Amino acid sequence: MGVLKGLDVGARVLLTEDFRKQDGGTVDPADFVVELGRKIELGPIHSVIGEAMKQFKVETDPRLGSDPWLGPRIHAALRLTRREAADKRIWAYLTVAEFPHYVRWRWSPVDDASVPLDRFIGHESANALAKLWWATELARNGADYEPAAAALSIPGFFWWQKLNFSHHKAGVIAAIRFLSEYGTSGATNTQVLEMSRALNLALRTVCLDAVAFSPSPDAHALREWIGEDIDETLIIGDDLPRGPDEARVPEADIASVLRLLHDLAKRINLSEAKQRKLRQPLRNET
Amino acid sequence: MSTVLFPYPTLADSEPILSITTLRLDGTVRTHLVKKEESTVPLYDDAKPWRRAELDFEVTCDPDRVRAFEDVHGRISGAVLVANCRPTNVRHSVPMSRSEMDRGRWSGTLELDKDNVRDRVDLTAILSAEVGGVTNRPVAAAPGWIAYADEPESLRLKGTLRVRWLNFTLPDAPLLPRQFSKSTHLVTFNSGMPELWLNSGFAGLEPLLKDRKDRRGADKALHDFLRTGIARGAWLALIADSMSAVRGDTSDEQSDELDWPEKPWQAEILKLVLPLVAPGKSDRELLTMVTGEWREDPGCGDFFARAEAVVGDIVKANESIRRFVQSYQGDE
Repeated sequence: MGVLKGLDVGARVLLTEDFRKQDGGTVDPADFVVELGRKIELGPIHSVIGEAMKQFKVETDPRLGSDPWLGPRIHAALRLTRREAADKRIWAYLTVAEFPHYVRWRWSPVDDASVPLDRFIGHESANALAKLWWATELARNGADYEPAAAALSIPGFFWWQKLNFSHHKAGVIAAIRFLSEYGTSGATNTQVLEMSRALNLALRTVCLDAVAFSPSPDAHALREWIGEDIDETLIIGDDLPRGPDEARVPEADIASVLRLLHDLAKRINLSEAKQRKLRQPLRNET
Repeated sequence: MSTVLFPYPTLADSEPILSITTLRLDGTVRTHLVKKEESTVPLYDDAKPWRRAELDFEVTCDPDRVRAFEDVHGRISGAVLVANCRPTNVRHSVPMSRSEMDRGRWSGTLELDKDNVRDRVDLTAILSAEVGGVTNRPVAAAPGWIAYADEPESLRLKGTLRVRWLNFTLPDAPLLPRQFSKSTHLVTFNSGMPELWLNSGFAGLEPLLKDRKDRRGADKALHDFLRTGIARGAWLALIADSMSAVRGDTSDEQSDELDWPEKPWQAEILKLVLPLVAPGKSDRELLTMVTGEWREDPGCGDFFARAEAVVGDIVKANESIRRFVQSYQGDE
């Protein structure tokens, strides 16, 4: 297994329709590979993705179950600072050079069409691996990955992932609880989208950071966690692994944002949103 | 970009001022890096690598106006500095303490760890209060500062485009030049800043383009036409790339308006060219045109017809031809 590298955007020329189809094989990206500053072993993430593709076979639909399982495990296997993870070139390297088979497995449509380009080299909320890593990073509560796994079970959560609201720790954890528990079986796709739009509008006249403070990520705890040896057996087991040992978000802060969300849901009559026609359909994320 | 009208009373007529008073990098005072005139803190400019930055800041507001507001609407209950770093998705809010002596003054300290930030961090101070029975209403926001963790990809700061001579025909040349080995030049967007690559494998190109003070007559004209011709093409490529980066910023709860591209050089290009393409339009109108009619047929063609003419002036192509014609007529 190799070490993590980066891939320049010029590699786009390699990502032909054929490459992006189910039997697309591999490409030689050597012309576009760039070395990074820190040596990050890729063994653990290879194990995690291999295990996911074994566990979530096609008898049902692998896409329905693999994200909540994989997100926290990819995060625990690929230990990055946020500064490192913000380098889009590493995600392009992982999807194009190391794991194109996973991208096709997860995102290939049932017919013979090719996987959309942005699953390989897109924005962090589109790239097949970046979106899982970042959703987990944003949604974990200290070392606890439960909220991240819950977020990745919510259809349409990736739409929320793009909102500045979701960078607010208490905010995103409250939203995951709200959307998971809304109604009898969680919010529908339509409700997830309607709520995000309404919240975006409401936050122009409510200062979220006055409702609850959003702490900075604890870089010291993160560096200690990055420095630990990774036990792959703990990561690919049934139990969720543990993330960096940061302080948990105070429950009182989460409760304050939850109150805001419930009030808003009442004001927009969210329970009736199931039948409402969307102005713009959700991109199919499942 | 535009004036926001709130549906409740605010301190709109007394905009607070945010200022950074002291900067420490790993505990050492480096306040000379605070650029008050530009409201920026170029952390990357410190000679030594740093891990932890501490920024002492204060927010000031007209105390009489604050008093008048609080007498009518109640106490300003919240004062917070919000640091947003888009690339790392960090949103860090720092509570401010209010001065006991001056009711229009708040202060605090923001701490940034380099592992949590990349490129730039936008700082905004927000005052909030209960207004009309609704808590946590923003009643004032101080225009933002920017702390740069890394040197911005800016043409303004870095000067002109970086130009590299490269033999496009060699087997160890990058893939793109090899694919276009007969071209005189290429504009590349692979790294942070775009670069202009000139083909040293193109016979006779280097002598033609090389700057020499002794060029005269047709020799000088040919040199100028070639140089400005390449510059015209490069500018149009930069404009097209920059236009595609205009943001429909629905991810920001403060605004769902269109916004200039995030990369400084792209914003700089558009801010220079668009007002010349469509004089008299506001920023908002220009950005709406970029994401609307200028991306579609036939508006796109009309845009590039105008942009091409504007670029001709920017790279001084028209001026050099005018000079040549004048001196040629003089020779006759």
